Amino acid sequence: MGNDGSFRESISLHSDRDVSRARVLVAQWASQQGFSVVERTRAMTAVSEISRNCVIHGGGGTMYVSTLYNNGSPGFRIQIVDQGPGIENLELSMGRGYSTRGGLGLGLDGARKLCRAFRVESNAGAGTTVTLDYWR
Amino acid sequence: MQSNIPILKLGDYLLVTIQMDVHDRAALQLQDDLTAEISKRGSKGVLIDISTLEVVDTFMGRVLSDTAAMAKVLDAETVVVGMRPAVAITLVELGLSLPGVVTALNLERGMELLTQRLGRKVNG
Ligand SMILES: Nc1ncnc2c1ncn2[C@@H]1O[C@H](COP(=O)(O)OP(=O)(O)OP(=O)(O)O)[C@@H](O)[C@H]1O
Ligand SMILES: [Mg+2]
Repeated sequence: MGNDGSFRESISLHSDRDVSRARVLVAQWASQQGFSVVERTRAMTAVSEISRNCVIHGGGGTMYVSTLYNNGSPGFRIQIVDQGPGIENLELSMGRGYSTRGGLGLGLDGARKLCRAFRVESNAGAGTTVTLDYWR
Repeated sequence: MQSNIPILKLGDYLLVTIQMDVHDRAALQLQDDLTAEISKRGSKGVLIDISTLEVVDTFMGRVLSDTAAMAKVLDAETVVVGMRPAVAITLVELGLSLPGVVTALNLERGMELLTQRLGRKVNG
């Protein structure tokens, strides 16, 4: 717990079991903060997509969850960070149906729709950070 | 390797219940185990219960579609039962369709649906 009452947790992402753990951690945050079941499900699903991307495309990394306030509404911020190859064609990758691995190419686009605010920072060779914000 | 997800016999049908926090490899293994079981027993119907599942993402969506497709090739019908309302909402928002996947509200309705579909097949 920080001085300002903020709180931060992290989990390492290197396997499909870690992806499963990431979903559970986010479910706990959403429940503790009194989010609805639908909103909790959205957060778990988005995290499932982005953390799997981190493991499969990014070579593994870390998920951070921290408290967040948006105009007085409580919530949490999820950051999923890797030091992998980066997303080569960000604009294409963010759209529906683009995949470099024969996937459905729905993960990034879907996750963006399942959160309040979404940001991807990625540069070829310099890793990827995806930020998802939730508030009530 | 076993998926540790038991495949039960329910009359002439097979019933699998996917656990709450299934990880990707276990889901894939289940797909293999189920197709092996269908071919071994000559089952005509499969029920996949997802009522404890809190997340159906692109990966699980694909596992469900693929499983239904593989069962079909083995001449078995699949019905996915018990999808939570929050999961249904999220699926639509995610833009994920489950091609070839037939769903029913609960196990009872799923069995009715299978019996109907199989009956129709037998009677021409
Ligand atoms: N962390 C990452 N590091 C490097 N590339 C990434 C990362 N995340 C996504 N990408 C790239 O963006 C593309 C699109 O990602 P998206 O999740 O939308 O689809 P996908 O993972 O290929 O398929 P799926 O629909 O199964 O998720 C990926 O194919 C990959 O090339
Ligand atoms: Mg993906």
